[in-house]
Amino acid sequence: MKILYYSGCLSQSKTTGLTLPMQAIANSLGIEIIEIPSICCGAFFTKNIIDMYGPVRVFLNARKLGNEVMTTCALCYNVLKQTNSLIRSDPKRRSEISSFFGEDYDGGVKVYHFLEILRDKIGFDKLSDIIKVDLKGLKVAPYYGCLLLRPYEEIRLDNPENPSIFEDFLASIGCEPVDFPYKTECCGSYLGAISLDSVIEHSHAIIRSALTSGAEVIAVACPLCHFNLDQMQERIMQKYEDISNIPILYFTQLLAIALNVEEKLLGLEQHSVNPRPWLRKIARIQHGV
Amino acid sequence: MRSLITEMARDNKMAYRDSIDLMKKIIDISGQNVFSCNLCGKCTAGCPISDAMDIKPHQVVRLVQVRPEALLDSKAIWLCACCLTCVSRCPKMIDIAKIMEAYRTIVLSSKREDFIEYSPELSSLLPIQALVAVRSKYSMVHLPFYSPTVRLRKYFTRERLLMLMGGKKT
Ligand code: SF4
Ligand code: SF4
Repeated sequence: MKILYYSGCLSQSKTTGLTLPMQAIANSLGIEIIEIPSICCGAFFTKNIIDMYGPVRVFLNARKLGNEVMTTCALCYNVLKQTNSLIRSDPKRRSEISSFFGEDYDGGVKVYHFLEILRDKIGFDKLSDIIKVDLKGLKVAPYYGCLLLRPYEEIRLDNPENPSIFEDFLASIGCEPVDFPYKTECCGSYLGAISLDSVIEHSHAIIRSALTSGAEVIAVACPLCHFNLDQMQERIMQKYEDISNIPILYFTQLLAIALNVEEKLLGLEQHSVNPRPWLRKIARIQHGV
Repeated sequence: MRSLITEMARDNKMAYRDSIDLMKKIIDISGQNVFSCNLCGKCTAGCPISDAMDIKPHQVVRLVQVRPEALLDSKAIWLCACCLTCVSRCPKMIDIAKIMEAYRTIVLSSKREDFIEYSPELSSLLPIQALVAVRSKYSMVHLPFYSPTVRLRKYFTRERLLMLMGGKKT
């Protein structure tokens, strides 16, 4: 299977853990990914035409190579999908955009999230046959955040209030997904740049809820969630004493671990809460020590 | 600090017609049918930021109908994280985040300036996505679709906007 892959600005920026293992993962899964030129998707969906420059440019680049594009970043996924749906439903905006670019774009390039590819094109049951490292019994809290689920009308990945795709994915690679009430709550996203307190407040609630549900690690799909939960964890712990350190991993990193991808491709250096002790624990489980 | 409303009331400037005008603009930009709101409050109940907001999401929807100018200088429009919890819980599918965005567009288009002030320590730390997203939310890099009135331009001084955006108490 061939698929166009849009890695977004991630591949050049600080949060590489989400994209770094992708090539290795694709090789193990037997899919061929063709990377399309990375320009920023805009990172925030607004209806203003200037902000739509990024996503439309991505689509115009992608269209030359195919009509389905996949991304791992929840933010890109959300922006691209909302842009498509706006262009499809608003002829006025479509004509503005086409006169701006000198090319007509009809909103026709289909956008997939990597989880969606795993679910719909590969199949979670197939996936569990492929995995090499058994992560059995590891309690992982799937944290969806906002961008994978909302707004439902445009995204339609899963039920916005009670989703299950992340849990199914974790179960298929052998982890034990734990259910926790804050899995679809907002972590404060980019509000950190304006009001750090609200990020600390919300991330604390999420981490505490995951810990109380018995999670050993939190899995995320969004670079902003990762930043708020991981990099901010130290500050959260300065303010609140009722939480302890918990590693935050991208779902691609978990998949890469399950597929036995070598450690230097996991991008673990970027984490402020070191997940290595936890990894050693997996190795121990494996070797039965 | 005097609010926009009192200022306008004193000058007796915000006429009924202006109010209707603003409401039309908001509905036009956001594309939301605010009149279908049940005032059930599910949006506010789910909103993670509502405790920090001066005007709660369900009040926002109601105010657009009756006194749209009251939101122009609210902190709520800057604090909304666009998490869209409200939309997914609203029985009428009203997208409050879009209403907030409409207000931001109107206020920002009264200024041709960049309002973002992050601490240097934070900006070296924040992921690139956060910086880009904040820029598109808080600064006037947009094309001004809606030409501002002189009054708005005068009212929204740099200091006032920074205070509103930062959510600080007056
Ligand atoms: S949830 Fe919807 S209908 Fe209920 S108060 Fe909020 S906007 Fe109105
Ligand atoms: S989108 Fe804004 S108003 Fe709606 S729940 Fe999220 S923060 Fe609250």
